[in-house]
Amino acid sequence: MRTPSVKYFRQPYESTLAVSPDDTELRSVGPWIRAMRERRGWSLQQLAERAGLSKPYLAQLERGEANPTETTLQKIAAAYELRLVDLLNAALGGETRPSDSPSFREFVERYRPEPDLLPALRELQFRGRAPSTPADWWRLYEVIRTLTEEEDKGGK
Amino acid sequence: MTLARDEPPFGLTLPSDLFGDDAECVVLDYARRLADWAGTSDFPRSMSAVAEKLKHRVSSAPLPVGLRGVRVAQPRPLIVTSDEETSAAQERTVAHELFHPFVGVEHHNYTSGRGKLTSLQARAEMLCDIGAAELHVPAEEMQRQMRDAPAIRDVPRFAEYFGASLAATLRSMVAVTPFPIAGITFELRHKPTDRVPSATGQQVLWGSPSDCDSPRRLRVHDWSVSRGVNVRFNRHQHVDEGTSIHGAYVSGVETSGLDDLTSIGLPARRYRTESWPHRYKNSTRVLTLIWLA
Repeated sequence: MRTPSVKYFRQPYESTLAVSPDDTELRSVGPWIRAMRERRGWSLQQLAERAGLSKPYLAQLERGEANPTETTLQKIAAAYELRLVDLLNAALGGETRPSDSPSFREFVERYRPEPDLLPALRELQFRGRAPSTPADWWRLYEVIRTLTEEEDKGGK
Repeated sequence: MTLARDEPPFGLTLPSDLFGDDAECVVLDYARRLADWAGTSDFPRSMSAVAEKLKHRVSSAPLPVGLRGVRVAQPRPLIVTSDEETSAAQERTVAHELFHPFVGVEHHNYTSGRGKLTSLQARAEMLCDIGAAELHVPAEEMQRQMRDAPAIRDVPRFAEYFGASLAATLRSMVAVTPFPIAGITFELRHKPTDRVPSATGQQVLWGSPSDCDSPRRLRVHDWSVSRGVNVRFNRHQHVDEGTSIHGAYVSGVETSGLDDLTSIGLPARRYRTESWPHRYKNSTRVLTLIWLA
């Protein structure tokens, strides 16, 4: 298991993160920040103002050219009205990892699954033949998503 | 023997060397304590009930071909079994998955890697199978039920008693017997060509690359041998049409005979066999006991 980057994440974040980001992975938060901004229809300038960051620095972050500090990520999370832990789980959980198999990576890229289930999919324990195509992964994802949603509804 | 009614894992931990006999002993101990803790005194034992007691939700669903079941650890433990399988086979899958948290080897590289198990992960899978077998079909109870030498006609009766699949029941019978026997489940199919080896590999395995697309034959589907027997089989091997094993498939009734089994890798002589055919989905499988001595 990777060691959490304590430089950035003190308690309670460390213990509640579904992922344990390292410096390299933190850079991959950038594209997610951009995608989220575009989904909300905000300009770079608007996000910079809401987060209290400079526009050039934010542009660098979005391009994955700079490592964000915890303070920076806190500001961006606040601008999106998210907790930092939720931002990181969504951003890092939605990205593929170097250790992901080609079929899993292709599944994530082609089907764009909800990021919150990806950590669970990565940690599945199998009996029998593991999924070997993106379609297999999608089928499995749909089964787990449906069952998880049923349970959520049942619990409410 | 009354075991302490503690909570799982009952203070048990696996040794650092998963490949030793000690690891198997600990897994078996865990299985017995788990059964005791879950209050599974009657047979057949419900693996789903044990799962529920361990706060796992169990469900069956259409899974990708070849995938028998999965365990999702978060947000709440969930075991999903393939609805293509019989209920007895699904119960065994549930039992298998319940051992993963105890055996504890993570599968990140397997699930996210290239689909191949490392030797450590393969060993962990084997330990889960050993534990699942003891939880589902305990050796002591099988010995008590079997009393004498194993007989093929007992397989369906024991399968019903334990609520296990026929193949799993045959494995358990073979595992507890002191006699030198092999238990094989045969089914009619092509060679497993979904992962066709190189031409060189085919040459080594089958003698001729052109034999890769061979006709459907009665091939080894599942096998086990009793303790101390040093024989291995593989899923490419088939029995010849002249054997009583094949006769059971053709006639649909139980057979016994003396068979030449060189085609499944046994030395050239005749072996006493007992075979029992049964319907499985849209095909017929043959359960066979081979007396090796």
